[in-house]
Amino acid sequence: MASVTVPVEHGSGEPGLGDLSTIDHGHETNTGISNTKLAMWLFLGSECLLFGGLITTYLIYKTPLPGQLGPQDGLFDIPFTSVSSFVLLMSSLTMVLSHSALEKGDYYRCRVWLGATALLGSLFISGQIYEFTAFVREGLGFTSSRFSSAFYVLTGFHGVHVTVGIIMLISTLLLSVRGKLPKEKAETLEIVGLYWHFVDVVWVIIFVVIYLIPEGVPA
Amino acid sequence: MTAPAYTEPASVDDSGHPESPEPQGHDDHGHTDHNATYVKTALFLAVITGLETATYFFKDFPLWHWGSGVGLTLFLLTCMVIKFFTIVYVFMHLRYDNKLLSICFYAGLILAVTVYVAVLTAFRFWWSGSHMVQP
Repeated sequence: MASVTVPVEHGSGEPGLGDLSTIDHGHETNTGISNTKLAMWLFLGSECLLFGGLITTYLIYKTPLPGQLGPQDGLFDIPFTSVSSFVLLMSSLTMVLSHSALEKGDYYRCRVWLGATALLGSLFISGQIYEFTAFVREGLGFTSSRFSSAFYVLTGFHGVHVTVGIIMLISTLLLSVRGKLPKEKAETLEIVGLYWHFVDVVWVIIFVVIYLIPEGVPA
Repeated sequence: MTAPAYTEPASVDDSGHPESPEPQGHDDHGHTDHNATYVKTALFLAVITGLETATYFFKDFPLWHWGSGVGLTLFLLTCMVIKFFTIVYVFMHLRYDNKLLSICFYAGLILAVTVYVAVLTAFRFWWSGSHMVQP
């Protein structure tokens, strides 16, 4: 039985014999970090530009034209969105606990926390679908106003990211259940976690900028 | 269908606790056990989220009206920044990881903030009402 031994360790920044993070699939890397992890961080850096653009577009377009629905019309259900935010925030906790359990070889808890993360993510998405449905019922369609278009594009893009994250989580959970995620491959779960935390971080910004500061910077 | 590439160690009992004695706080790869830190961080983030939400319910708090409402905006943005960096540093391990990863992420973040602040300024977003360039 050939066991996979891909040594993974949080880089200390000083590659050496004891620093196994310099090894990527059995090969040392010039950067001292595994290529996959570096690629994920570069991807997340580029995602900052994507969401920055969407948030900026929303801020510019959020003032509706006369006669159109806007954020000042009391559309947002802040208590409901606050609970959604809390749910997503807690999913970040379950994610790190899952990774931590895998690093210790505690496969049972790794799966439990991973499942909990996917469940919390699904709960968040369900909340978003409910919120969108309520908005449409109140007459705020995708093309009703420039505010609604910018709002749906931004929150919708975030929702798609969460959905992709849930798919990644379930896939990782299935890998673990099938015995293909040993603790030596904890970096795989860490990379999924990085994506998941980033999605959470983006929501931290959206929650404040869109929901809690609807009027923007006052005069 | 091939057999799984490995079998789980027998040292893990039904409850998931390793039976073999291990040094507290570290696993066999030398990882520090950050679980307590993670839970405390999550509680801290929950408290900050609670404070953010409280601004919606307590609209008459004097600080919110400072500078014609700038006080509220600054408070919320400060909470947002604290939450952002707490998640990035603790949950995303940037605090413990290689500096190069920080450079990769912050390069994107700083570029995004710079570019989009410039765009918002070009649209006179920071000015009130009618002074803003209408798209």
